[in-house]
Amino acid sequence: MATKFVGENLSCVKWVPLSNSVLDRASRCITVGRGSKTKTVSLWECSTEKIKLISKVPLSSNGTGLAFMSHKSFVTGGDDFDNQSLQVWSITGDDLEEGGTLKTRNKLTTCVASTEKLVASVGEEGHLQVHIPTQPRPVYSAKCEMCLNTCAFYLSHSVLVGSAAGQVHCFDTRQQGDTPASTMSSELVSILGIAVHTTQPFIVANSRSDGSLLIWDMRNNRYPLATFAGHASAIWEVQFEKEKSDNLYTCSEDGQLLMWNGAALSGVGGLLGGGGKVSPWLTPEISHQKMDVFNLLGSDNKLSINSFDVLQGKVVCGGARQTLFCTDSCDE
Amino acid sequence: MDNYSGASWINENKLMLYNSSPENEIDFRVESWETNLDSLINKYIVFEGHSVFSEIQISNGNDVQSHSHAHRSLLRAAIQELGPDNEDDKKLVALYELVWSFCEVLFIEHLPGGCVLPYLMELMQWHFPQPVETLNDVLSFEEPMEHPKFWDCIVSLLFQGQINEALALLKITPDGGELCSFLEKMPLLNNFSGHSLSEFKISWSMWQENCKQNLESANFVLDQSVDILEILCGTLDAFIKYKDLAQTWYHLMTSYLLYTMPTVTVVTLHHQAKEMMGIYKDYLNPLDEILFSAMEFDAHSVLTQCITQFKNNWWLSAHLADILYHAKQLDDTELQYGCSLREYTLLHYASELIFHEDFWSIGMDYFMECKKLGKSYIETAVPRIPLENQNKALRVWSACEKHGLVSVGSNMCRVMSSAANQADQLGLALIWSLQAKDLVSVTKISETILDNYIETGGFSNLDFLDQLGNNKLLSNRLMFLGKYREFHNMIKTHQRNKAADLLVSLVESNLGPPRFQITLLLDSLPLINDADKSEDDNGVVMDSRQSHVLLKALEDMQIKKLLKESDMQKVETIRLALVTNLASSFLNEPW
Repeated sequence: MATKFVGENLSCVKWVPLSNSVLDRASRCITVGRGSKTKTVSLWECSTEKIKLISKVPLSSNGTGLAFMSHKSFVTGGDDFDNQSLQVWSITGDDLEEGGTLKTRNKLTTCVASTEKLVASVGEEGHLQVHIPTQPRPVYSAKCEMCLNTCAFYLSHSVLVGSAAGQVHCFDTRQQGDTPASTMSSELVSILGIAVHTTQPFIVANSRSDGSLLIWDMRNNRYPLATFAGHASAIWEVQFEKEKSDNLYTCSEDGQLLMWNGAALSGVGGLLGGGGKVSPWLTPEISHQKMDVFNLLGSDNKLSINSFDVLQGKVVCGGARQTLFCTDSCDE
Repeated sequence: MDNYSGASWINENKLMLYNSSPENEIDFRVESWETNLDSLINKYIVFEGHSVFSEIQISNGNDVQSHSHAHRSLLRAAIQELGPDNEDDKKLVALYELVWSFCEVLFIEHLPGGCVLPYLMELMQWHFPQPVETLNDVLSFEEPMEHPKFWDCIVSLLFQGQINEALALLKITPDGGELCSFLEKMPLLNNFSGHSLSEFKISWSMWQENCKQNLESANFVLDQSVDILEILCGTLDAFIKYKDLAQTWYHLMTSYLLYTMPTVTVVTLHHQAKEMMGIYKDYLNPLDEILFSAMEFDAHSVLTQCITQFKNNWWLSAHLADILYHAKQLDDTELQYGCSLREYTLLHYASELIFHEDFWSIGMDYFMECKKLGKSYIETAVPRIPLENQNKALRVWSACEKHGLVSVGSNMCRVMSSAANQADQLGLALIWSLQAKDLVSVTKISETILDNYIETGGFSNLDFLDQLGNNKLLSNRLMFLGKYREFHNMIKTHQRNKAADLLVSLVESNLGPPRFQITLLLDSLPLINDADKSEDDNGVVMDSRQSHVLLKALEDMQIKKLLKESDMQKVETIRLALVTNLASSFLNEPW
């Protein structure tokens, strides 16, 4: 494991996507800072042996969201009350350059999600807005009467948003209006993270502020399929691994970064996992089965891990400890 | 800034300026400035120090040595990795490292046979790396002896016990052969394993006796060679002659002891220290006093001097006090501050951290280790942590929960609830109030939601109210609100009988606010008027008893004068509908 003290509270850490996923290796990541006096958007060269800063640009307000449109461009959210907008960035060689801005109604953006063509953002005021990065005005807007903490694209035209009231709303961007197409409700516990399964998108995981993790089947979303008590404290992010889609990762306020080895239960890991076999997350016994869970950071770290990303079995993460970690995911 | 008439401290580095004139009531500004915690190197030692500190508390005093090493190595890592970019702060951390190293050797290390010198020697080599640097410089010269610092380099290498390096240079001097023969035979404590201490003492005294005899008879070509032999013989004057090379009294003391008393123990160290401090008496500074106190084994004095000297940064005092306490070198007796010295330093360090935007959660951890006053300090400090956004509020709340600070956490939730209320985010306000289990606030917010319903006829997007579960039990009003939403859902799903039962029980129970009764009664109208369209229960949804209950409620409202002029029209309509329904129900009900 490589560690690097960066001197700022990291709110988002994401690998730069690969331009060619067959030939390229995960080697660069972007971090966004919040809270501290110094806040930057930084580009790092990362391996499990060494972490090196390539370029950084200071931010005037907190960075609160990060999503990539391609390996050359990404977007960040913020909490600049005077200038309510998302910032588009481009990576040119070793440099980070500010591109255009996208106007948003949220004074404080809490999360940004993206596909190759669309950018969705949610905020504390409860607005969901979807932009095409080349157009400053949103192509879709909806308003919830509740603070929204997270969002994720679902299929090609819908956006899932998680609220502080414990609900996940699914908004269809083809239908204007504030009424969601469907809503998944459980207890009044704030939803902090949403992840959509890579190969079977109807499997959705939600992480919550009490340290629990919910698994939903979107085809029948009256009740969650399973509930796990994984962490001692709020789970900030949840993600299914891209390559081994049944592996799930969570990071939490308790300082842990957990890997939930679902691929071991499915028998066949990797992309084929979704092909013929039923994902272990869909089996009714999942909550009773013994699943291997590994803490990738060891017990040393006691301070919040705010964000992480997994690519090609390599994990980068960071948080309140102001340190960037890069480690291998263990899936033995 | 001239326009402000008053000022008040928010915390150590924030000052609120305000104008108290009546016409300018809310005019204020917060001035803040950087603290010394903001530099990269200081941030690093805060985080790493916290990690080691937490481990010490968990291990409860076991393995103090390795924890002390961990603290020292984090300081060294900070100097080496982050030092070059932060020169000023590097100097401060280097001082911490020096004090820590001395205290570690004197208070914490298990010294074999009580011999402290090998440890001190290692310390000097780390803190005074110049001799090795000069050696490289000298060796790179074509004629090393021509180098202006050639002899200085030999002496400083001898001062640091780097015998092999010194030999390499001595060999090329005219008197090298003789000097080298003495030096090569010098017994060293580090290489003397497998023998007893007394054996070492005997062989060492024999060696030095031999040196002294030769000093009288020696016939050297160069004067410097005599100086070298005098050093080997432990002649104080020779050491004083080269005191500038040693730079400090503690370095000179270590060097002098190497050639006079290599088996010196920690107990007798302070006698030597006093003598050497006398030599440097014109150059002494507060740091020397701290180190001298350590040699006197006065942990209390070391700490009080650290507190005075490093008064803007409590890192060293707090961590040193903690490790000395766990090493049983510092007692737990209560001082005039109202707590032990360890707790006093921890409280100050934690207070410094808790108001810093990066370290507030670490500050809470330090407070929690202060058994006597920690809780009361934390109760005062947490409400002053700025809650800029929901994310931060959630973190603070979660930290309060982790430390079992129920009332502090609830108060914070109340603050968040009131902020959300002011921002017209009623749903969010309700959730924070529920988190705080604040009955008054939950009731108030529920009533506001009901009032909004009376005005607008809708609940906007507050569909989470259907998910309230056990939370409903907290307040009658919330229970009413939840049940009333249930009633609407029943109407939507055409469960008319169930809806009627629920409506009547809501009217009967008086759970809702009195002004809402008329709305409830109005809600009965669609159930009564559309009854004919219904296929169940012979067209009558409400039976005679239920109609009676509603009529009585209507009468009660009139008697208690809860109705406005504008409501009279509604009252007549409701009464007519209810009476008609009563009549129909009589016809349908069996006698």
